Amino acid sequence: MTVDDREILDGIREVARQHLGFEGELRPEMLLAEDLELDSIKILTLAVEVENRFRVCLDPSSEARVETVGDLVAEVGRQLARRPDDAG
Amino acid sequence: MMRIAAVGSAFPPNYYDQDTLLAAFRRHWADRLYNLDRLDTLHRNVLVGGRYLALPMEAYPGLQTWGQANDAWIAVAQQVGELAVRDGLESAGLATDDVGVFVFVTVTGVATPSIDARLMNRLRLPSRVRRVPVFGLGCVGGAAGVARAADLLHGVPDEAAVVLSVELCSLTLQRRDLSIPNLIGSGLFGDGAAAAILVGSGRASRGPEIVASRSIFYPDSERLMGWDITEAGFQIVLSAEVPEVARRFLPRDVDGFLAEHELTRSDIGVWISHPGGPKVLEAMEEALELPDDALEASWRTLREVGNLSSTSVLLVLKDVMERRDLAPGTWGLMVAMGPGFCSELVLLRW
Repeated sequence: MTVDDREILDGIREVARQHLGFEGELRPEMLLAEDLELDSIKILTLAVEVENRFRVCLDPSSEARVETVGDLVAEVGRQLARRPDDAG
Repeated sequence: MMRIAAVGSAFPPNYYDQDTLLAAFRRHWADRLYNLDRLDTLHRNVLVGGRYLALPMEAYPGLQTWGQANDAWIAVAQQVGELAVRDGLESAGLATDDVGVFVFVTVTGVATPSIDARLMNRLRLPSRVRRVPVFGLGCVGGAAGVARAADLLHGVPDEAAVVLSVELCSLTLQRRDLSIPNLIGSGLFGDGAAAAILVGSGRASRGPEIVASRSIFYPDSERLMGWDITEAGFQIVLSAEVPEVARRFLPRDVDGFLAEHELTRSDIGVWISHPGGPKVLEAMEEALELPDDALEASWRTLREVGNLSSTSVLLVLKDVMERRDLAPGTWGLMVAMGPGFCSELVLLRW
């Protein structure tokens, strides 16, 4: 995991805490539905708030493949890379 | 024996198509929602074509507090409520003097004296009328209102009952709430009123007979749907589990209820379901193994005016009573689910 990925994971952790009340540990291999117990509305909440935080638009066609926290970190990283000015 | 003689309806004069509403919400939330395409998707997924609003669109930013929004609710609820009751009574061939029971159902505003009391004056209803204002049943309220009014008509065959549902959902919308349930709600819910007119056996009617009703409560499911009450007013609670609950419980409950009347699903000629949203309707169609067009009136109501909570099932009933030429003896089933979580079934026979 790169430093950038760690920053993204920290950001996702903060979003999950603030908007989903998730206080536990967040690891890349965790499944959004099964391990974090997110239903479709909560997964959408996570996606929208991650987009707001990182100022990216997640690719709708890749959302079905985002099953784990790590998948989400990677997708955010991909979208940030498309916007080098905002990638920080 | 009680019958539903007619259903009246009324809407505020402000109708907007979904594109116009979506454009307004995009402008309103542009600085807080980075990916506005999410809003497009949520609004288009609910398959609503347009909605009536209690107020002209430009009036909503002026509502800064819950009190202001509720004052608007009280004013418009009386206007559309009166029109819906007059429409229903006229269609039923009844006068205001015939009314003996008045059930008023809502979940979108509060008033004391309640709206039914205020309409006693506006409609000059007889002072003997037994009034039952009902708050909090949400989407199940239309069907439950009909069932409770039928209960109240027992033993008074010459009286008529009004079941008035007024829902002005737009006045509950939290414009600072970017939660997914609120974004879905901003695309789904509309405003309007409907009044079912019930008559006892002492009055002639060709409307469907109310044969029986059944309330079903699902324990420990309080967070599936409802309101959180905040300083800003009603904040929507909506769980993704609602379609699954419909899928899991409705076949059992419908079959059990029908069996008590020696009926099965295949005996039901017309389904009168609260529209909810596309996922709930699809879940019902699948779980109850309904023919493709069984919920046509529910889909049409959803498309034309959105989800009006307790009002919707009465609009579906009105649609069926006015559009379908149902043969005498046809069985119908009203179905609605709502906060509690719970469902209400009303067995009808034409």
